[in-house]
Amino acid sequence: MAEGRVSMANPTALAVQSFTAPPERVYDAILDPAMIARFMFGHLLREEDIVHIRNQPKVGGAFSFKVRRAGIEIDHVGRYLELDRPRRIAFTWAVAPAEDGSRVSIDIAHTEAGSRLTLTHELAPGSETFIPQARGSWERMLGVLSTLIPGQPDVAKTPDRISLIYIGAEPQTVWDVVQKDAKGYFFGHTMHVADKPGGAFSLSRPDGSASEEGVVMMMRPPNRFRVTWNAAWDPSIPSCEIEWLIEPQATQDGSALTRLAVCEFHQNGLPPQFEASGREGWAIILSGVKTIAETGRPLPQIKST
Amino acid sequence: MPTSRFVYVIHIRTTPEKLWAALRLPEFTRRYWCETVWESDWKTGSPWRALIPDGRIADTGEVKFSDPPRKLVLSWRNEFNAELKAEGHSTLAYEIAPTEGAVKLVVTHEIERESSKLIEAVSNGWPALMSSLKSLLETGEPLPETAKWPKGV
Repeated sequence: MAEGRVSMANPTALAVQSFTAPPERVYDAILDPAMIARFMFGHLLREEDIVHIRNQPKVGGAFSFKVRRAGIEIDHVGRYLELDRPRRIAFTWAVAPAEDGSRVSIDIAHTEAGSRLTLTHELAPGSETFIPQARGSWERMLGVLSTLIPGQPDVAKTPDRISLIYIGAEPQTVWDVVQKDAKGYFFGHTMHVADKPGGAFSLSRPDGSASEEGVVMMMRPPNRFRVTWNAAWDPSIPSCEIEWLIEPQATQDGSALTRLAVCEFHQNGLPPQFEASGREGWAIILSGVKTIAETGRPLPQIKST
Repeated sequence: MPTSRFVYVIHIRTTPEKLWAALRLPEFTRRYWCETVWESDWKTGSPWRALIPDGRIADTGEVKFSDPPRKLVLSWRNEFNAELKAEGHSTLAYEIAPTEGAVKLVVTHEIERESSKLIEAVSNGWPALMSSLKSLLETGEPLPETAKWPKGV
C-alpha cells in the first residue's frame, strides 16, 4: 500500500498557493469534477483533450482522470487516503498502469485574505530529478485554480471576436514582442504578465495609472496565454477574458510565418460600444506587433480612438 | 436589407500615395496578391478585372467611386468559383487615412444577403493579403503564404 511505502525521506515537491476564497470553497473545488477538468487538465494547461474525469471523493474512493495528449491516452489514477473538510486532502497519485507511485497531501489554512494551500507531493524513491517538474506542474494547476475561484464570471465558450494578423517571423519572436514590447505596440503602455497562472496581469499608462488589470489564466509559451481583463478606468464595464494565440503556419518554402490572433470572450456578447472601438484598437496593436517583429522598430504611436 | 459584411483595419508604415498604388498596380499585386494582375483605368464607371497567372479571370466588377489616394469603391464578383459567383456582385471599399508617420487602411467588403459564402471566404483572405501587403511595403518582401497562386485552386 502507498501509505506504508512513502515517507518524508522520499523526494518531495512542494507548492504553495494563496486564494481570496475561504478554505471551504477551495476544498470543494479540488474535489469537483467540473473544476478538475479545468484546473488540472485541458487547454488552460496544455494541448490535450479530456477523455473522462471519474471521481469518488470518500476515504478509500478511487479516481481516474484520463486525457489524450498527441494521440496518447494518459490515465491519472489514485485513491483518497484522507478527507477532512476543509483542512486536508490526501491521495495516492500515479499514471496507470502503475497504482501507487506517489502520495499527495493538501493542507488548507485559513488566512485574513482567504486561504493558503500547501501541497506536498512525495515522489517514489529515486525520483529526485523529477522534483522541479512536479513542483512546476502543481504550481501551474494551483495558479489556474486560483483564477477559477471564487468564481470568475462565465464568459463565452467560443470567442465573440477574433482579431487577426499574419507575421513573417517565428512564433517565439512574436511571443517575445508581445510579452516584452507593449510600450512599442500598446499605446505606450507597460504590460506586466506573471509567468504562471494565478499571477497578476496589468497594463499601465505612461503616467503610471492602471489601464487594465486581471490575472493570468493560462501561460503556455510560445503559443498561448489568457488573462482576465478588467478596465481599471471604468468599473462599470463588465470584465472579459482575452487570449493571445500565436500559431506557426506551414509554408511551401519553409520560411517563417506566424498567425497572431487576439480572441475576446465576453460575458454577454461583444458590448455594442466596443464593436468599432475594439476593432480599431486591436488593429493598431496587431499592426504594431507585426512591424516590431518584422522590422525591429515600432510604428509611430497612434492615438486610441 | 440583410447584409453580410467583413471589415479589416490595418496600419502600415508608408504613404497614402504608395498604398494607393500598391492596392491596384500589377508590379505590387503580383508580389503580395498570389501573382494576380489587376486591369482597369481605375476611373469611376470603368470596368476592372483581376487575372490569375494561368489566364483565368479571378474577379470582375466596376469602379463605383474613385478619390485618389483616399477612397476606392468597387463592385466585385468572384468569377472562378461557381458557388461564389452565383451570389452576384458585392461591394468593396478601401479607405486610406494618413496618421502620424503611417497610414490607416480600412477594407470593407459587403453583400446584400444573409450568411454569404463570399464574405465568409474573404474573411480569411483579407487578413492574409493585407498582412502580406504591409510586409511588402515595410520590409520589401511579401509573406510567403500569398506570394504564389495556391496550387489546385
